[in-house]
Amino acid sequence: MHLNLSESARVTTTEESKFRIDYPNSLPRVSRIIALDDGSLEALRAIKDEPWNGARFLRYVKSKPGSEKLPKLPVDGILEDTAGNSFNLSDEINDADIIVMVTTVGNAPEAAEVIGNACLVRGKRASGLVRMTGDQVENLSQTLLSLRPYAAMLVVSSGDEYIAEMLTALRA
Amino acid sequence: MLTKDKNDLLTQTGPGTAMGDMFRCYWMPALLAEELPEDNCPPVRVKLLSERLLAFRDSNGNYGLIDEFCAHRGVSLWFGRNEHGGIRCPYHGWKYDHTGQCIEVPSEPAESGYCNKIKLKNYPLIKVGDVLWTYMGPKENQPPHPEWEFALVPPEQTFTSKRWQECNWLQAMEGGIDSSHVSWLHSGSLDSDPLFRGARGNKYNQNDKRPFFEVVDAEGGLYIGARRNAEEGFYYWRITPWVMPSFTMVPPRGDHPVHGHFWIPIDDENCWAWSFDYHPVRALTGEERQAMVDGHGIHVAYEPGSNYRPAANKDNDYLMDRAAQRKGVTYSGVAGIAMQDASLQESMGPIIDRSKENLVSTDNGIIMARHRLLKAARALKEKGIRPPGIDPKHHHIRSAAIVLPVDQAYKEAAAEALVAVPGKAQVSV
Repeated sequence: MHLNLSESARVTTTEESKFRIDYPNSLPRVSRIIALDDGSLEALRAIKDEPWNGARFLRYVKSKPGSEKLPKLPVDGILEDTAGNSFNLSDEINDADIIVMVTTVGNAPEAAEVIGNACLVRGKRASGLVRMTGDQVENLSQTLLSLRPYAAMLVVSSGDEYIAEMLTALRA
Repeated sequence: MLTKDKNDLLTQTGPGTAMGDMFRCYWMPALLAEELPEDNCPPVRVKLLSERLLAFRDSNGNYGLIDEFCAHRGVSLWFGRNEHGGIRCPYHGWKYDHTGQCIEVPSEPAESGYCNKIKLKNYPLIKVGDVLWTYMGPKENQPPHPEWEFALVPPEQTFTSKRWQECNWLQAMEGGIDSSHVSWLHSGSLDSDPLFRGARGNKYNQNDKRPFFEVVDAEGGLYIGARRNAEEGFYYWRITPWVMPSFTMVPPRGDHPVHGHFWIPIDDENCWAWSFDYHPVRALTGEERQAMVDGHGIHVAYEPGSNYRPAANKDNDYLMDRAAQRKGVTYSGVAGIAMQDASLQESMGPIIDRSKENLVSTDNGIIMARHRLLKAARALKEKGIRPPGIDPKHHHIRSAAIVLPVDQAYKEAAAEALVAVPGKAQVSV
């Protein structure tokens, strides 16, 4: 230890970095990755067997009718995992820390709305990943428009390998 | 979260490393032109990508960037005499020209040709704008000269500075694409800094402190768009381009000059933060230029007599002012935008262990940039594919601050605003 240095200078050395406490500083996340269309489901199917921290890969199937309180606003729906097992959207969202909607350009505004509303009524916010598979500029605007009200972060990616990269970075 | 092997790959830039090879594909800022102001001026030590070099300007006006050490006994040529078309080692008089070729070995007969057998490693050093640029890759792959707009506008329209940042290049660069920190760390600067205040767009920032983000692939890198509510039916977009490997531009404010950065590795634990400010169509005013010299905006005041080390640095705890922090004059207690960033990035340690971090969805700009860098570094190493950002057309880029209808994709709707066109003003609110 060099006592003649300022505190900031002393503590930012490589040597001092070794004394950072080594412990798990976060709990595992509950992650729900939801494909909004068939193309996106295939992209999720391709990565589902990687070593995730409990992430569940699902596809949106359909909405459920609105409730008595919110008859015109569907806030629940049916999801399926890649093996075809059904789940309630509301149950999946209730427990989730990370919710990512994956869609292909030009698809699934209804799905985004239902999932987005399901998140909203539970005080949650999803992210959106838009798969750009070619020159689809006009459709991209429409897709973004449908996702924007429901996603704090939108990513437009021209390669599917980014899906796994992003989920790994988020500890999904 | 990033695994250790990926973190090592991204942060190590010395010779023979994957990311080092990638940086060696580009023209990089090496020195300010003011560091070699005239022929035969004193030489300057330069360390880039973990290589110790010496820059000098010979009596014929040639710029040289060569191995710092004499081939004879390993003496630093920083002590050399810059005279008559070369730099002479003061120890035994060996002399080198600007290409590193030894041109005199006084102890050996000139006719022996001994000096022809001695050559120091050298890299090209060219002046474009206020900057001396170098390319440290294989000669056969040397790309066309850089065409960044800030370096091409007339001198009266541009100002460039650099500062030593005492941490790895990546954690510094990631600050430049992390738009979500601005509402916190730099809150207050919009009203007080002479290079930011007064813009109409500031009102949108202040009225909507929780922007939404959209990250979009671009040919040379990425666009990171921060979206805030504007008038009914419109969004206010601040669009930050990132060009590989380490160029970013900050979206403009009103008619203030536009600014941006390069982060260039010195070694794995230090980097140069280059900062430029320019106006595409008018000269900087005297007040603007003075504000930049004084360290406002993205520039810094220097420690007297130092080699571009900020006056506020880790040795004086960044001049931390807890009273200013309590009063809200500054959010972190550190003054100035550049040092607000640098102090926190240096506090992470020389190279942050990214396996411990907990990223959230608004960090997707950072996640995507890492992804693009990893992908490009691997493609270069495994297949020899040249990375994006080399082609000068990728340099013809601008940031933008623009109000667009809510149903527009910003990359397309702001496409013209995001291209640098000589003589055309920036798109700014």
